[in-house]
Amino acid sequence: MQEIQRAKLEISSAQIFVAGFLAFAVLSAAAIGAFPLQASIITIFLFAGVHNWFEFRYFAARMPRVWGKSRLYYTLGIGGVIALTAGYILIYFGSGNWLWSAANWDFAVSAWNTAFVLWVGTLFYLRGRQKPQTDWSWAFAVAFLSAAFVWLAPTLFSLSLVYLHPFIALWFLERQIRRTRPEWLRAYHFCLLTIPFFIAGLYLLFANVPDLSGETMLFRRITQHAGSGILTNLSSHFLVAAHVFLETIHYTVWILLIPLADRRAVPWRVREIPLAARDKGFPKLAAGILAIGVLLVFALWLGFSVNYETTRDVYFAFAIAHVLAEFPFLVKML
Amino acid sequence: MKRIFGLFVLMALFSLPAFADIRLPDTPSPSPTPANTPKPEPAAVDSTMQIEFSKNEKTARLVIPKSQLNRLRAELDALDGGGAATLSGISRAQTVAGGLFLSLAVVFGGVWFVRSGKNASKKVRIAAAGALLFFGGAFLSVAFANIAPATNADITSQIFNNRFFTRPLGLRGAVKLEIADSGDRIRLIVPHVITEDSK
Amino acid sequence: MFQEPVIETVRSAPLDRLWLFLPVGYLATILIETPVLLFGLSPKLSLKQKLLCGIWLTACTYPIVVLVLPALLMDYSRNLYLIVAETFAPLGECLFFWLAFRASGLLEKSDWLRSFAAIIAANLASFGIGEIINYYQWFGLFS
Repeated sequence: MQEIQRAKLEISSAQIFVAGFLAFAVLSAAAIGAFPLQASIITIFLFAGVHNWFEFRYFAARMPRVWGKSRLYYTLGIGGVIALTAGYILIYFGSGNWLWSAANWDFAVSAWNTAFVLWVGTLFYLRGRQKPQTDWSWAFAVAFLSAAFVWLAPTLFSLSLVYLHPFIALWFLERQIRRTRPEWLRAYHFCLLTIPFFIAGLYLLFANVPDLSGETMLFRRITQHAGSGILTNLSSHFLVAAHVFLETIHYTVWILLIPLADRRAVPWRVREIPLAARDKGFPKLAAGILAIGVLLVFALWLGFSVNYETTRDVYFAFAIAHVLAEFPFLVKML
Repeated sequence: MKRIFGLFVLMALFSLPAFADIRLPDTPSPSPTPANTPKPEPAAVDSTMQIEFSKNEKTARLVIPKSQLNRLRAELDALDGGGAATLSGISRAQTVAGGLFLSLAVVFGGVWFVRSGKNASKKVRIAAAGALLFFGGAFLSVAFANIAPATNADITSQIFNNRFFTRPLGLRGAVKLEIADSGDRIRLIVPHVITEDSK
Repeated sequence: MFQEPVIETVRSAPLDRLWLFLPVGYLATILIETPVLLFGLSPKLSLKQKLLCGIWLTACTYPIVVLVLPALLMDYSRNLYLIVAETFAPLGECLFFWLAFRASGLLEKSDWLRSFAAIIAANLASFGIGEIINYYQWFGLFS
């Protein structure tokens, strides 16, 4: 007697991932495209501080308790973050000083960008030395070529960093999925491929519409941040929408997707942090720092509520630290 | 899947040189950006220029008296942000730094390429060569996009000949900029050159 | 009569032309130097390696010679620039050649000396021919 088996419709976690990503991306692109300025203000208000905290939590989980052979790497990585952040803040808050001329400021910015690319190149080289039978000294060639680009097109380089930054999180997620959720990898690559289509859609809809209102300093800041003063042949509506869309994906990756892919990144799993291990770790210190981070998130919300514009400026000045901190941990995962 | 993914990544990256056609702004980059106002009008001062011909000069000289320069400086100071001067073309610092880093990139890239030998797989070497071609292309796109269109006439008395009046791009050549302590008139001193057309 | 005031000379920099000249001059230079290197470099190097040297060694020093040094020495005489540039170029190329091949174990002392001599000869050849072409103002290409 034949046994009839009914085919069961099984939906894999990868398929759910794709469906969820697409649904979110469509809704986000539509809302952000329609109200880019408002979306920029709201997303930064709600998620800027939170995503920084999640990043810090993730990096803390990836930082080994004993650096061992990676001592030089982490020293350069963490030291570079501190030094470059200090330099950046000095340039940022010193730009209104009477000592600065426009030429000096341009020179300082180019010098900082040069230090940044050379630092990243050195990190790549040191990482290559840790892998057997590899020679990543080509990283210096790429770094020097990038440095030449820094000087020849400084504003374009700075703008490219603004738009490339969201993709760093996507790279992190890719590396994480490879390690902990390999069954999602193909689905994730598919999702990545859809992003250019969303950007293309925003371009087709908004590239030639009138520029966004510049009636307030805040609006001008937002449009400038997206590159409206540089890419003058594109509507600021498209630029802000595209930038906010990418930043929204960036926030989602850190706050939702990376914790989903890696249990160690789930916020309340403090035991997953090697530095917080009770045995030979610093559990109280780690918990204290995380708690301070939470307080800073609330302080940021308070600041945004009281004076959004000033808080935004201060936040973006100090937020360079989190942008820089991503590089040592990302390169370490390669 | 990987090839399609790589193709889209390459397409996104190759779009970068397209931005090389975009004019550099007059103000510093957007991030970090100090307190800013809408784009200012360029500084301008009404003045008088006197054009002189000199047989003793080999290179044109533009002599700007300090009084006019101070007026221009006052206009620049009145603009927000100190009035960053509009620069066309590439500056000296950009040329020195750009050339130096370009040279270093070639040195390190070449040493790696020669030394990697059998250790690097063929794919890695091809990828490295491809990356070099891409970055080189993007680099040249940006560099040449910043360069003002080349002209082919020195600034001498021959610029007043008829045949130069039809040039859509005008003329460009070396000129010495000098600041004069006295006077109130800008002087353009042009080498007097006798050519067939001017006879 | 005008009294010549004490003035501060600021020479305008035709830097844009240097960048325009870079690729053209580079191609011309390697066309001159590569044949010299093909015959002059040690026979222990393969033809492919010699060709790569012809392209790469010039690429290492050319941006310095054509862009950096003219920008740095623009307020000085051309003779000074030539002395500095034509000293730097062969010395630099010898150094980079050594950096690239020192780990290969291919070359002995006599091979190194021969190769260095070939590099210097190639640079002298490109300098000499370059001066001749300059005399004719690149046949109107950059005038």
